[in-house]
Amino acid sequence: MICVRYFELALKTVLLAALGLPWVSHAAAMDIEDGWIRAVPPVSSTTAGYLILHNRGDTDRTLTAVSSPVAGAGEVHDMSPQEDGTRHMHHLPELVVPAGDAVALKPGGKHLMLYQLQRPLEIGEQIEVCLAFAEGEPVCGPFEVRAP
Amino acid sequence: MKRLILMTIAVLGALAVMVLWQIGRGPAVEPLPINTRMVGEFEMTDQTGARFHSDALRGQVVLMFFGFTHCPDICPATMARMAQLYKDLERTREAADVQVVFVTFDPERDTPEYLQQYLAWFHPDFIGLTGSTEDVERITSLYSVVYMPMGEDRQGGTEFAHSDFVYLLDRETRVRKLFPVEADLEEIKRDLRSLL
Ligand SMILES: [Cu+2]
Repeated sequence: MICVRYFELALKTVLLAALGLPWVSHAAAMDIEDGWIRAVPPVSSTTAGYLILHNRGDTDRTLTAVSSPVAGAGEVHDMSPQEDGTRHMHHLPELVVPAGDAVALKPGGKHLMLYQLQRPLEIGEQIEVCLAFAEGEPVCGPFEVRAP
Repeated sequence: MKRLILMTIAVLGALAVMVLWQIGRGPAVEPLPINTRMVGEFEMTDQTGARFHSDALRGQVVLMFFGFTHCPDICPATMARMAQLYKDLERTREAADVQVVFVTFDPERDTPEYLQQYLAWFHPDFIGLTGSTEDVERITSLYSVVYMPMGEDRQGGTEFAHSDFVYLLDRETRVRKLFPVEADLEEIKRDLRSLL
């Protein structure tokens, strides 16, 4: 009886090591929380997206590119206060999400920029956005279009 | 001597009543100061393509915001907040004497037609002002708006660094207060109501 228990345990461990761990350390390492896109007037061809990006893996990941089927181009942007009190938005070529940590992209700060919108986005609809990293697989997720 | 004491008590009593009555009324609402630096007239082109003189705003309490419509973050968020505030005032029947005005410093892309479509989505009553480079320079210097072209974006348009305040103007088009964009809507509403 004890023997069977040990066998089961050993089997489970092997299965976890073979199936679970690689999956955990790669595909699920990055995850998107509360992704949303700002609704803008239909005449606008530019909008911004926000999310909390979690890195649940054990290596740092560097966000380098953004894409979406509804946008001709995408970038990661940051907003920096200038000395004269103005704020300036600029392209952030690399955004590091440290291992075991998270980075929040939120209004007035870092954001995803979507250019050349192919069509007006309706409040409430889900838009797929993909994030590409310097290392590892891209991560895609639904972003909800919300009132500005 | 007895009369003097009685009179003193009477006077002190009257003073005490006056003081208590003042305290009871709560802190007196200070009128918003008048900004004496941002004074002058301007002329721009509105969203219908017609010339627009600052005198047209007389008699209205105005909320004015400067930006450019290709800004995807602060500008639409602020316009949405202005729309929210305006709709609140419509519900309480106070909106008739309130005017929201958006002024662009990107007249190249923010043409009257573009502004019309952009602003109508937030609220059809909003006024959009654009114009020549000179028009924009005049109004922005009048209101000490800081904006700086920072190079091109992905679509070949200009990116701007800019200050972002919401200006509250009284019925005589005098600037009475500047709010940071993230200011509480209830605070803006309270100050606006003091001018209605
Ligand atoms: Cu941006």
